Amino acid sequence: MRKAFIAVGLTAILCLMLSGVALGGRPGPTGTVSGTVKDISTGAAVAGATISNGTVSATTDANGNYTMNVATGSNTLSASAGSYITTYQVCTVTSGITTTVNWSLTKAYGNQAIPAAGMDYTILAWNDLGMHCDQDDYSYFMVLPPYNTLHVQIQDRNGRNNPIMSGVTVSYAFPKKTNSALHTNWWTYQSQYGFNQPVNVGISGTPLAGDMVPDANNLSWVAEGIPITPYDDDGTWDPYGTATITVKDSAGNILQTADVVAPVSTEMTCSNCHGTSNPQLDILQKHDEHNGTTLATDQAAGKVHACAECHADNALGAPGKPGVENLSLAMHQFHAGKAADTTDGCYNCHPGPKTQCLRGIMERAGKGCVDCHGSMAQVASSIVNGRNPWLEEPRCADCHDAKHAENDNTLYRNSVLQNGPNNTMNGKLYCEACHNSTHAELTTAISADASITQKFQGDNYWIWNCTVCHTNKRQQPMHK
Amino acid sequence: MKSRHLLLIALFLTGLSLFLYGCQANSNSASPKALLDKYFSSAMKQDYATTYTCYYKAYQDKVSQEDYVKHRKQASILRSYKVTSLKQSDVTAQAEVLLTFAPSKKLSRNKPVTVRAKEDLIKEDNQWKIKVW
Repeated sequence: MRKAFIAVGLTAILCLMLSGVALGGRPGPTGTVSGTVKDISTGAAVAGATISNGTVSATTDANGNYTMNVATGSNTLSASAGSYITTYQVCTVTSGITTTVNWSLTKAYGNQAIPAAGMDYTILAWNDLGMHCDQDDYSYFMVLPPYNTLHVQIQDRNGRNNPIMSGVTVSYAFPKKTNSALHTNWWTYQSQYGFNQPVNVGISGTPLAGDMVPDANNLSWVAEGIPITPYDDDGTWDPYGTATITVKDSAGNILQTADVVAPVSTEMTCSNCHGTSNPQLDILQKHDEHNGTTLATDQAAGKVHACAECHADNALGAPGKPGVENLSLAMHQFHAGKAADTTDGCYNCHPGPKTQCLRGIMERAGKGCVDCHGSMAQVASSIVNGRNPWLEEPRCADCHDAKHAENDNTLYRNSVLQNGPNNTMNGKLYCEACHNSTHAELTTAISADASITQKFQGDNYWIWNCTVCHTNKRQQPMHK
Repeated sequence: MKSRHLLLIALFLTGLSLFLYGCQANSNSASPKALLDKYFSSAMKQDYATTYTCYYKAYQDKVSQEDYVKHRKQASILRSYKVTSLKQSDVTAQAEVLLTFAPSKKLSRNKPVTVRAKEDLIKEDNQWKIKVW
């Protein structure tokens, strides 16, 4: 009898154990994540780094390599190592497939004295896109006119009513780019492209130097459509020209000044495919051959066309002609397969192998154009499937954790802080104010990008030290 | 014999002095003015490879001579220059220069055009150079 009770009891325990497994005690499906951890500046392997999804973790070996099994689905991974800033990436893990997640870690912040500590006002300034395209010659066609945009947010380090949007005058000027007409023929042809501005004034009416105005959100001062070119007055090829921003009070006293870069390049290497003798004419002739247009004949007769005349272009707000593909679709669809789907491939048309439109921290960490935008065929198909080019672009949140995501239905360049350490900051500080332009997120490969952080924070990092903008604050996490 | 030796030594020293003076006068680093002269006169001759040598290291690190020459040819041709002011400290200098660019068919410019430009100079490895950023 006693043996029977023991047998029944053991059987019951076994059944409970088995049922427990069946009801959820058994681990779910897993997939493998592996990769390498490197130092972003030197490229050296980081040994002993910890990769974790909060549940399981792995440590890198002497070569910086790691492998770990994690639950399938979306995982937010972190990478931490002694003297580096902890970094996060989102990855989707599939059962039976090894997902590669590589890391390039940035050294921890320095302990330098913060230069802004001795100042009353801080200027946070940036260019909107990280790079604007320009053309050396407008006598054949126009893709984009000279056009650059600067934003400025002013912080009163002793005040609470930031950013300052009244009682000041904010002006900009490019000391070495005072006369774009010296080196471009844009103003000779602008009327044929539908514009009629005075020389050295951009298509939106913005001159090479002047006062900035409040933006549509009344959060920053903006100069939109500045017609600078990559040529300094003396002819120097300078795609990283800097503007001097000057903030004055209502009495005309200078409160603060700072330099900010406004990148612009003509490095569209059409000649790689369209011949070196006259690539612009070759483009027109090819267009005529394929589409039955008369662009080359028109050009020979002195009549030139903007691409946006027929192809809708959100960059210019041009509606195009009914039944004609928008410019972004036409370009990517036609050229897909004709150039490699790599950053170098993109640099055949976008500036460029020397200019380096893509040069921010993600590029330094090994990411290329295609990692965010997809291949040319994917760019084209996304438009076919309804994406609005220029207005709907890759999202930070696709790779970064929710704390570092941009605002819902808003591009990074228009997004503002929503999870700051102090609620009064939320909705006021642009992402680009601290992290710099898209494509050129700090820290970048070009020293000119970091002129603001150099002046006010004393390093090339994004704005991480609260002392930059506040007299009574020290470093704390910027994103709650 | 002794006086001949002395004469030869004197001639040698004189020649050496003249050589060194000539080197200094021709160097792009002797003074800010000398650098500006080399910078603009080479541009006037469209000898942009020489113009390129006048830039400081940060620019040359970013822009190769080949790329510089290629892009500089796209900009206007310098016809003349005149340095109107030059302020110099130990390691930096600022100049204002009147630059006159030639007429250009590409730019539909029938007459020369003059602009007042600013130049920043920096002393790098004991040589004066044009600073861009």
